[in-house]
Amino acid sequence: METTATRLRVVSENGTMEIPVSPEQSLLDALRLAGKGNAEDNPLSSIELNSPCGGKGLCGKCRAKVSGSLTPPVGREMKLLSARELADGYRLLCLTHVAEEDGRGPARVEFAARGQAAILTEGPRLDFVLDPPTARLALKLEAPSLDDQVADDTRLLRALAAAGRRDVARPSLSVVRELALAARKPGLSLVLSGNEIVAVGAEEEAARPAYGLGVDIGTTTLACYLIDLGTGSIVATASGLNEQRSYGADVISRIAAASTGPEGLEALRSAVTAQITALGLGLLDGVGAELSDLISIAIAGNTTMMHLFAGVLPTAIAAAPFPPVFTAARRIAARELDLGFSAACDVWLLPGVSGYVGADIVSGIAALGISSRPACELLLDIGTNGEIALGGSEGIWCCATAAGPAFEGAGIGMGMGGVTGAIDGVWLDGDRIGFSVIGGGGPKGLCGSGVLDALAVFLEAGLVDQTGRIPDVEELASLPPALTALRHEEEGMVRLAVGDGVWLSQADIRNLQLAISAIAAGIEVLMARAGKTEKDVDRVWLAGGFGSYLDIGSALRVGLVPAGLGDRIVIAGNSSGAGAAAACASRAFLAEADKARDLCRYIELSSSPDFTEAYMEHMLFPEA
Amino acid sequence: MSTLEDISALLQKGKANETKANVEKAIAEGIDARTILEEGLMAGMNIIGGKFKRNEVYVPEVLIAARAMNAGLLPLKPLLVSAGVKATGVVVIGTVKGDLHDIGKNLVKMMMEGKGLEVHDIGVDSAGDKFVQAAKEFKADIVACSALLTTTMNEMKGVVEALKAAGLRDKLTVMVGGAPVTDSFCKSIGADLYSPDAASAAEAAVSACQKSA
Repeated sequence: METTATRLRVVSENGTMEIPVSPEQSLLDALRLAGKGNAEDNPLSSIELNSPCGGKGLCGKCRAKVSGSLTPPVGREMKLLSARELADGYRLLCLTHVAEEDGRGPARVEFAARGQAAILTEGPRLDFVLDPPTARLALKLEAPSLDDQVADDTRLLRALAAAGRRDVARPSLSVVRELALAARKPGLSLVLSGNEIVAVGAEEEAARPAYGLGVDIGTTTLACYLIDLGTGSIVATASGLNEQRSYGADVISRIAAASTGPEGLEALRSAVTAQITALGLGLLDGVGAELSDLISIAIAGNTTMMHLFAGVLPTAIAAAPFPPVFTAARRIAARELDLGFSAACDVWLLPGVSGYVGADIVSGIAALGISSRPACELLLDIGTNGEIALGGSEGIWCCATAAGPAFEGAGIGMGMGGVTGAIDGVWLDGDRIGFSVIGGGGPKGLCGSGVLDALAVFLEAGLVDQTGRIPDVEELASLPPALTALRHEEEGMVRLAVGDGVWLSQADIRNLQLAISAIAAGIEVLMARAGKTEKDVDRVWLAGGFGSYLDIGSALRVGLVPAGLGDRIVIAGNSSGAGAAAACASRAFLAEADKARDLCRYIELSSSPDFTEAYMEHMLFPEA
Repeated sequence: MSTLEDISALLQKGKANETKANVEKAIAEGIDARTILEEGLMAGMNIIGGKFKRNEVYVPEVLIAARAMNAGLLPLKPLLVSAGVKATGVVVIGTVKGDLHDIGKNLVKMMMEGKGLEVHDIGVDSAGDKFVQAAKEFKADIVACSALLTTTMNEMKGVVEALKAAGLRDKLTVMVGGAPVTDSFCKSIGADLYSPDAASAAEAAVSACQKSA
């Protein structure tokens, strides 16, 4: 039978094009064929087809967003993709074929643009009651007359009372100043936050869409989410490396820099506020909004980042007993913070728990719904500091553990961020090592997920033993020669070649052992304190950049997450940022965040003898 | 291989239970406690210390080896006490006030014990007066301070001053160490010895004790 050739629409940063595809071909094969030739004028040649397993449906890395008339997902896809990904239209290209036109439209595949630094902005699907804490209100004032000479501010309150808002307080002086002009016309627009008038403006403003800006301030990266307060959906995102990083990579060096004097604190404060302003203005511009259309901002970040954003000296957080100056949620007028946004803007700081379990974790707990379910869920946010939370609506235990920067590429000889040229996936292909590179060119180093994969592969191959040691050449005699040949010595250090000049050294593996062990021991101690065993844990959320990009199989192989929890892992994305966006759009979410914070019980690990014991235990890798 | 060589090899591999079993075996073989300590456990720990210094092994291996050493010491300790084996010197070690980092200090402690020093660990978050009290109580030859944070390293100066105020400063050696600490910092606060790693610290401590003996 002759096969009917049909077309596949390919959407990428290079534009949209159509390629031929037959029902026998997987979408991956069709794309590969069409992308061949590497001609510079072939827009498909630059699309990254990440397929570590070679299209065998094993690795789950060739995921892409598809739509139209396609074959339904098969069992293996259901296993490799999360329910959320499937719901969002993600499929594995190697297992997806075109189907007969069935009314779903032509088959289509979408590739996201891959920027220089891959910073996670994708968050969990939000589920909240749309009820912005700061909102616009259109109001008509009765015209003054000789019989009614009452002052404008009273006239305003009278109109509000007539509209059913008797609770609103008399406006502040700065609002009264605005009122002098605004009240000369019968119609005006108010920005209300609770019972407080934040601003008054011209009537037309009330008809414009209002926006909120959710911000996740990470020590390494900063992510902003513009949310439409009329619909509750995130309309645009922007991110960048935290501009404070020139003052040091970790919170301790930031605190040290801020503690040098008033100028030090101001330098760090203005670095991050200026960055938020720049990213926020860019987002508003992108959707054609005015500055005054941004009426609320919500901030989530670790406790040190929250202090620096608010211009509060965080010195005490650096030394035991690590007291933060503030952790409670609060509302601040933008003008108080010297942000470049309109004065009519409210800034909400989400609540934190302690010096090292901050608003980012609380925001994530609330955004993922952990605090509202009577289940037992584990949230892992792995970065330079690993924060761990365990529990549900009946109580949450949480802790912070210093994993060090190994997962972010630092402290690893050939480590690098998740940018073009980084190996982001490593696998064993018979007795050879295979790897994938971000951007598809030659590898320059390893990013966090690549480091973890490489370690898992070397453990699996027997090139690293259970204690983390790379065995001597004689001890490797029983391995295939191709694998033994990966071991070499350079600059007095034993190394294992990943490929094309990229390697992992014995010292790298040691650093990884410390980092992995810190997280694994944190999980163990938290479970013990909560009186929970693996079978009690209903779900494991992996949050943050590294947590979202890592390969779950590798994470289990190296012992980062207990093997017994392997079947319950869900990638959460940037749950902190998603929560911040939700906070702008929902009073109920703000209340949920407060509830989540109140549920949290902080466990200090550094003074816990059982942590030190578990830390040593987990330095050994799990047996194969 | 002799039992002593077995003990050394097993300790280096971090096999705690087997190290302990072989120490018990050596005791049963009639080898005296001091020999088991020096030619079995300490010999193994010395090899680990050397490898650590040359970057051949890292923190996890030392911690694992030290755990094996502690396991091996369990059956040996009562015998050493009754045989009246004396330590090379007495060290009081702790992490300074405001700093809860335990591991680096523990590494130094383990390396020092591996060199036959008697080490009293006053723990983390220790103020100057705690160092003074312990130095008095144990008649320390050395006070060793650890700090892992740029924000807490200045507390080391507080320890030196507290020792001065207690009139102990000239009677003992003050050692400092930790990631942000340098030799010039050591001099600037009036401490005596800085070591860049745990193995060097143990060696420096032994030679300081021998000098003062």
